[in-house]
Amino acid sequence: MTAKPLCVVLGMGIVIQIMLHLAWGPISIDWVDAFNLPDSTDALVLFHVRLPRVLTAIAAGSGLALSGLLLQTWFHNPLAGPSVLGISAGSSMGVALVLLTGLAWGWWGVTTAAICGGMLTLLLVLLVSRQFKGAATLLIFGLMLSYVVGALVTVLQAEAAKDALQQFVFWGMGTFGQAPLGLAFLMLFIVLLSWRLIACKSADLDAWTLGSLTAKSMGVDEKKSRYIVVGVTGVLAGIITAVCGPVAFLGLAIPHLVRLMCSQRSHRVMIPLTILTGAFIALLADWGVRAPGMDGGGWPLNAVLSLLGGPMVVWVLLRKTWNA
Amino acid sequence: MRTPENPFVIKMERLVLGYSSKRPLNEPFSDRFEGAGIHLVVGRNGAGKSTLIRTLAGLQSPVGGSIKWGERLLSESSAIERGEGMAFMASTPPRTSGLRVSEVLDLMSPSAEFRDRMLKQVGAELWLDRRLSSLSDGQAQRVMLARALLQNTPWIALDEPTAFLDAPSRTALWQTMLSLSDTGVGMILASHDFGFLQGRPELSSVHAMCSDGWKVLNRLGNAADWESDL
Repeated sequence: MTAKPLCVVLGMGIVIQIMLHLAWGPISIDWVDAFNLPDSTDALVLFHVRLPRVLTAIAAGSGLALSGLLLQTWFHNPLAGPSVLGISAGSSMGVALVLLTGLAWGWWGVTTAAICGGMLTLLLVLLVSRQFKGAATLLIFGLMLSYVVGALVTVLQAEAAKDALQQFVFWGMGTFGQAPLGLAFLMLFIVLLSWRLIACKSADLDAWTLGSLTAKSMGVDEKKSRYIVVGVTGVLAGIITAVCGPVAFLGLAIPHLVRLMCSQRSHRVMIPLTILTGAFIALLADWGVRAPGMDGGGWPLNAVLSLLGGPMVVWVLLRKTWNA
Repeated sequence: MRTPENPFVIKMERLVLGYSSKRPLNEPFSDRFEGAGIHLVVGRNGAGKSTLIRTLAGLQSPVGGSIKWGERLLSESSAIERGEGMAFMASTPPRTSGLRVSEVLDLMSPSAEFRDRMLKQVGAELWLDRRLSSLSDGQAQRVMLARALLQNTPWIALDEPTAFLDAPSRTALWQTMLSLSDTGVGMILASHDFGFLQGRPELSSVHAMCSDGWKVLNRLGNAADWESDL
């Protein structure tokens, strides 16, 4: 499909899902009351439960998808993504440090720790990626980093108090349903800002796919671009991980899904499509968590995403082999 | 297209190439590349030809000494100035880019007429809608050459440009380079495949990177002598 009709279809899919997500729930709400009576239960459910959840899902889906695309382009590696390169693990480490050691720093503390953890890991990956020549080595490094960080988190868990541990385990399952309205808007704002920033750089990113030396010879500023990639992916993955937990697969899988649906590879086209597809899939996955028609709700977000995303990535890889 | 005037002079002062100052590739040398035409750099594998090309194009920093483009220190010029001064063609084609040939060339935002002329020159007119990754290495290198030409810079640095090309494409590449000389473009070429250039008036200089240092060879000499000097 070409980009334009695809954008329209995705946009419509997102709008329809937003309406359904807002309308459906165990409590049926009266829309007139919700808008006219700010203190009614209807308003509370709509504006403080369902709306933040929808906004969080959109921000998380599109933000992670965008970081995935950026990392795949920057490292010339189709298997890169915030969770693969250990960035999500780094953010988790930050969160674990704050939550499990009982530093009651509140939400800002957790978020700052997650962003710092994510960026530090990404910087480490960048530093090491200059020493490693092959693409596989980088992925193995990211994987090993995840293991090491995971082990440290386990150590922290073993030492942690019961309440903190419960909070951390719950956080680790991932959810779009924890952020208050203001925070959800803030996340969405950050995603839109990143989109704007990256969209200006789409020609540079296209040049980068021709190889870093060729891109530099074309006038791409490597240092500046690296700051942008680290900054944007670190902040996006950090804040999303802090709010939603270590959300699996979206970052890695969405850009591939876009490549399956659309034959254009220019970033001018890929960036908006990746953002829209990310939002669409995140909203779709959230149905599995909210589980209409099932008592006691559905599965944890990460379970749903892994069940969706795992087979999808395998399919992408197989298709590539079959086409070759 | 450029008017035929000489490109800026490239000055190397006590230049030391390499990746770390602990393991420099050469003794410091000073020299200059001056005037349009082809400046050939020869040397054995591993002598540092590719490193020299990248360093001259500002894609990697020297371990010691300095390079000047005209009167300007290369280390002080911006990314954009570098892009306007010298185009670069790498020794291997990009292998992971999913861009179409037309998208690659449009990155240089050329006029349609200029683009079509360069495409014809490298014989890539028929591949506009093909993905770069679906072309053979040789085909992709021809597209990358067209891209470098479209950058429309006073200098072009070419690192083993003929490595993946078949005989007719190689001849076409040499012809392209020779005709560029007349338009005032300077080309720095690292290559093992230099027989074709022997005795050409467009050959402006021949240098060698040897184990015992940087050498100026006789540009009017024959290729066998250049080889034996290494």
